[in-house]
Amino acid sequence: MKMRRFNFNYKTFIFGFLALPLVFLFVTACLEIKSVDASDSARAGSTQTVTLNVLLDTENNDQNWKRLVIGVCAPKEWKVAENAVVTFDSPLNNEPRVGKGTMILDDGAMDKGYKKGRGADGNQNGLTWAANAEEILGFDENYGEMEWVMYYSDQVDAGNTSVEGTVSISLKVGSAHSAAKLGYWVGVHDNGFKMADHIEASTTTGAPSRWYDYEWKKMAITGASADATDLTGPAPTYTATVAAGANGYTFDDIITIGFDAKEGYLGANTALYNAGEVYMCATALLGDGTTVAKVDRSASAKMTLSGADTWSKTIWPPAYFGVSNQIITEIHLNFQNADGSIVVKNPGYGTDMVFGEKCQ
Amino acid sequence: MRNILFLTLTLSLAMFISCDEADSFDVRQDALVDYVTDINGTWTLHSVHRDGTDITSHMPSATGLTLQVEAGSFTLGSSNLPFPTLGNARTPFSSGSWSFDDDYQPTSINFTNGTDVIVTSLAMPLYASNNSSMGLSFSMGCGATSYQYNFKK
Repeated sequence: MKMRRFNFNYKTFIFGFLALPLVFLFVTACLEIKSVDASDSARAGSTQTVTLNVLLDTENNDQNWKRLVIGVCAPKEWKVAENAVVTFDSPLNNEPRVGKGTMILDDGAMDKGYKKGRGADGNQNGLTWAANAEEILGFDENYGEMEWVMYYSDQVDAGNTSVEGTVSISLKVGSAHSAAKLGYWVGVHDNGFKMADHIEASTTTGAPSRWYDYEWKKMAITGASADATDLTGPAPTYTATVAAGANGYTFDDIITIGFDAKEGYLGANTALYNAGEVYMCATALLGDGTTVAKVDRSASAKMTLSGADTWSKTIWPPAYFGVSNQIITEIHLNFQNADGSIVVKNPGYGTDMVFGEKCQ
Repeated sequence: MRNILFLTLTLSLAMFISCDEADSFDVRQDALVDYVTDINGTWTLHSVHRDGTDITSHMPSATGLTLQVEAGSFTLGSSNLPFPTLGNARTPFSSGSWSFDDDYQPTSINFTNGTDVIVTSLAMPLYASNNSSMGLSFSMGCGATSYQYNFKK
């Protein structure tokens, strides 16, 4: 094969010289989420506004024609694409490409350059922005049933400035989950999920990459449906149940905790099958993030045999845990024999079984 | 025609002579007076129902709950049971004042600490005095889940 020789001449030099600013024009825009203002808890059916305080550092390279890209990770049941409204605001006011406005839902069509997702190397990889987010960021503590929904802005002229702006995300809270860890991602369309170290001059060093940042924040949901699950805990199990009336419960209700020693890993018996005594070891997670543990296998923690290897205990959680003037958001359970030598946790996970409130 | 006339006269006479002077009864004067319902005293929880199911035996300490009612004030004894005034949705209180919605034919009791007013329905009618049973029905956390506490004195 005949190699084509590259001829360097004055035309090439002039073209390269002129193109150099254009290269810088599109390569730098560093972002960091400085804080996430979001409620720790919200009622199912309500509309919640989450505010991201974002630092944009152009690193003194004239940033023109930029599109801010925002990712929101939330339960699928919330139907973010249908219900959410995302806006952004900043001091950038270079008409006509101002740094504020309503962001546009990414429909995943990839029919324009900026709608084509960019992976960890910064190149378009044939995946949507949402697919890249799922592949690179995942769903953190959530056991599943989550989705990334992406939004992009109109083009913005950021100039040479370093500014702090806000992104407001209005979400409608669903009722199928008692808690979820919501994810927020910020980046720009021409770098995407590119992973790179910060340069010395950068002020966005709190971000994991020079080009983007993301945060996770848990939200507890009150008034969720009776069969709601806590997405931040292990997937649902049949080993233990928490119930009150037919319409569900909150932790202000008298609840009945059931333990079925026959419902172990993949349907096998648990290690407490045929046990003579079973004790409930419970930890309450409070609204302020602290916990109260009752794991001493005292007489008050002893369960009652209610059927063939099924045990139950009925409690009023505030009194059982000695909690007053505090909201209990979750109860974590494991079950033990009298001397604690046998402990049954969530089969397949090895962690406590986690229950949130379920109320229709 | 003569027969019809005879029959009509006979029936009219029979109906006329069947009428008698109405009996008169003495009515006790106090029967016409409304009395304020009295529930003062110490009430002890006898049974707990959740959504109609008796769960008293599932809670060994259930029958330890006492409700001391005096003229306008109440005090709850310590217990591991919920009570409408103890919910964490507001500042819980175990004593305060109370009033009926209707002093003569009450259907609910209003418990208050001066700030919050908790309305609790009476699950059964009360007599004016000498009540020995009282039922309260209410919800706590999940509004659809209902409880009935039956007290005895």
